[in-house]
Amino acid sequence: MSQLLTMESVEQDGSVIWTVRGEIDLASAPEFERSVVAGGDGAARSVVVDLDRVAYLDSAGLASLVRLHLQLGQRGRHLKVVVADGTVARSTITLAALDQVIAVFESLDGALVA
Amino acid sequence: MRRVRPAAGDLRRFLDTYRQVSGALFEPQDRQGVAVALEGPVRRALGADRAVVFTSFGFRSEAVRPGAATAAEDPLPLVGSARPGDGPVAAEAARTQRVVGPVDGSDGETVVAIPLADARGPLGAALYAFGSADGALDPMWFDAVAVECLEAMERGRLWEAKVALREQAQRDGLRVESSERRLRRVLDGLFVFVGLLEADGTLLEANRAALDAGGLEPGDVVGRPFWDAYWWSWSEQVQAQLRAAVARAAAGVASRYDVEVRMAGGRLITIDFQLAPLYDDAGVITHLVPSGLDITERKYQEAELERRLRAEQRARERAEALQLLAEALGAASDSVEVYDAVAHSAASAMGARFANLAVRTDQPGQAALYNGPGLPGDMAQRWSTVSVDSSTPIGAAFRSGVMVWAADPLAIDEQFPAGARDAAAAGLAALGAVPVTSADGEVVAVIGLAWGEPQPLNAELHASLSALSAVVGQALERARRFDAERHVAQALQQVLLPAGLPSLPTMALTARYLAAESTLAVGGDWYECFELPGGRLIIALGDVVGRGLEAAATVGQLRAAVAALAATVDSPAALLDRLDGFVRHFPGAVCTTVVCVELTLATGELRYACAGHPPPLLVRPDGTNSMLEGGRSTPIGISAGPRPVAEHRLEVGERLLLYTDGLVERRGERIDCGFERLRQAASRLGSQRDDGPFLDEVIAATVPEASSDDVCLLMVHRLVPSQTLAVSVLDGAAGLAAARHALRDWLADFGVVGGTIDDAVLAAGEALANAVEHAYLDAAEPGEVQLAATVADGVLELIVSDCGTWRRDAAPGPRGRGLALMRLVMDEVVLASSDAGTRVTMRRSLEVRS
Repeated sequence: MSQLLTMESVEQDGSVIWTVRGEIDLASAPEFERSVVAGGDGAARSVVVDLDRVAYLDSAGLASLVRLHLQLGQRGRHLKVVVADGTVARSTITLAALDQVIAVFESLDGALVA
Repeated sequence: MRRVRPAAGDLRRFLDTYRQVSGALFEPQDRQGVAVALEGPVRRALGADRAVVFTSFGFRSEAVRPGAATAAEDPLPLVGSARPGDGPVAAEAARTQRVVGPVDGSDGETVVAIPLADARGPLGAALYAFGSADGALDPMWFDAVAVECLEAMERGRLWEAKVALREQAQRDGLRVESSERRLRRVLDGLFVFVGLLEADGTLLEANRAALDAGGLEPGDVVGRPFWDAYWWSWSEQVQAQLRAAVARAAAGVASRYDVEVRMAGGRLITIDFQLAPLYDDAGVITHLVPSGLDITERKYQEAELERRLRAEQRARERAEALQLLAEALGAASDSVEVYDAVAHSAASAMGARFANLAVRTDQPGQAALYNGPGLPGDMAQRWSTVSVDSSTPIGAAFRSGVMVWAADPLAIDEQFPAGARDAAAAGLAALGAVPVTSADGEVVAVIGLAWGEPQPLNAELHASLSALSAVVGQALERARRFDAERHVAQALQQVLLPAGLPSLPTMALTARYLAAESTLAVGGDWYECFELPGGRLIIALGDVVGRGLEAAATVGQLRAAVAALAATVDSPAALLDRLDGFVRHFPGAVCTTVVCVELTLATGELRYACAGHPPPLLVRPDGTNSMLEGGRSTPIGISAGPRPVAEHRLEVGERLLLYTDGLVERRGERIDCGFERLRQAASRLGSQRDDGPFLDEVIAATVPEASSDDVCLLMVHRLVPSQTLAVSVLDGAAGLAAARHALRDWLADFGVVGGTIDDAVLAAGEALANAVEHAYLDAAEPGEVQLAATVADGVLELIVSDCGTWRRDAAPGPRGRGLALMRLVMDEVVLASSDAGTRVTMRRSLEVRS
């Protein structure tokens, strides 16, 4: 696993929740993507990715999010991204207008009730 | 640093006394005379009420105390005599050859015993009784007097020996020359010359005295031109002068002038010469009348008077020069400064052409020479050391302990044949060597002096040289103490202060420590500064109560405690709390004041706490400044409960100055004045870019010249970061993060605001990732990708370049998004590809935090 990134997951209320810390770039995006895909094989209906603590997210990361969104959708599952306003990841997502494609939530609670 | 020097008044009084003593001791010829002088004029010069002199050559004076009927009732003789067993003081002085006292006599008198000796051995002692123990009784002065006595006695011994030799010679029937010469001068004084000349200058007549004086008969001169006569013919100039006088007299004008004429045997005498015309009744000049009166004696007296006046003038000048030298020596602090001052000033002080100072070195029998100006170049180089055993004036003075003198080239040739050629080559006609003696009688140095003219050693010069020796001796003694003190102080200072300060890329640390004026009173100012993991810098600066070794020990303990405890606590206030606990084990540290600062290097975040310490001063680049007044609590060891901590932020370009109270406290002044002085100094220094000079100027503006307290300053300066950044990514995608971090830190140091940093890092990250991913697709190993960042005129420029070939076709989808992101966050993105590689240039105007 890349030194850049740490990921932890829990299952709660039928969702897999990934808390991601560190940086998602060309080097770490494949790891990030593989981990989430692998964790999405269970019974959970939705996969929540919490990017609040991500210090860097570039287009490689965005591409991973797009691919995750598509792959999980094919398997009947939802990708929900939690990222608060004003964070680094949120601004990149907004810049790329990815929030119009992927479900982006301000908080974990919001993502879980949706 | 303290310069131990006697008060100017004391020095002047000493010099005055010294000259009197020296003069009084130079007058007598034999040792008996010296003893008499010690009892009389020397006692008066010293200001002693009474004196008793005991000598082994049979001289014993008794000064009966006023009111005492007999010597037996006088307590002074009872305190000692030269004979062991008679009394302790004089006997001890004679035995040890050291000045003894001042000791208490009786009737409130204070007694000093001065040893008497010549080069052959002890002779006795001179006791001086003073009515009260006033300032004149500095033992240092008496050491100088003792040296003077030694020299006088040795001169007396040599004179006595010479007299004995002469008496022997007289008995052997040899004539003494000098009395005959005196007779001749008396006879010559009777010489009066009168003559008669034709108007054309032909000599007609000369009186007997004139003829006899010249050893002439009338036939030798009569009938010839007057100026061709023997008296005049020794000098063409004198002859021409006479011819002119004859011509003038023939024209009716009388002449009168002093002129030298030749006597029998070739000796010249000076006559008051007159030449007047002689008229007949018709008023016609018929003859000329020359006359002359021997004024050699008068000339001699005039010359003698002038010589005396010159000598007095020279003595005055020497006294003044000696005073200047004494002041220069007073300003010298360490030994080398004293050596240089002597070498440079002794010659002019003594009216000599050249002076040097020979000082004993660690090598036995060797002395180092400190040459003053005025030696030919190669000689100055050759004369760098001198052996104590050498046949030189300096060597002889080292060995004998008395002044060595060669008054003229002949004497140099006789006494120091080995150096005579050197001396002659350097144009030196007289050499002297004056020993400088330490308090325990060792010759520690010798002052060498050289004159261009013969220089007899007369009483006046001798007195000046003796005073010079005494003054230099005291200066050397002071310097020796100063050297020792400085050595101790330097050793202690190493305990007080860290050997160095951390070297940091974003913060410059500079410290200054000024010892108090008195070096032995090592102060308790200290600091400690080190980096902790997590990019935190810990600075503690404090002032322990007390001085000297004990304070130094406490400082050592405190520094160790700070270093050990800092890693275990989470705030500067907590560190101070721990120090409160620490002082239970080291009571000497109670009441220490400390300021403790934790500085986050990346951001400039400051947390600080002051335990009774003056507040740190924050200085902005424009010079405006403020005291950080927060986080205040009581000094260490007297606090109850947790101490407060305060926060601030050190912005780019700002300085934080920590200091001890010596910087702001002056006796008799409110400390507010000190703070104000410091703030004003800082406000003038905003434009000072260099930290060392910054601190030096703060010190110059705030610390008085002779501060009685030590001062410690430590300044941390958050540097304006470099205007350019260059990073290479060599290891493909894995190296991207490091390059981004470097850019982020650099921008943060620069004061760029957060959102802009994120944008710039994103743009650079995208460009770097593009290059890493696409430039070296066909290569086996990842190639180099470079990021260069510059800020100029408020515009950030990022350049990402590689040396590979881009394959746009291989980068569908997300690549386009990367470029789009770059364009979104930067004002301008330019992509340029060539065979040599690809370069992405991006620009964005910056909002730098004000």
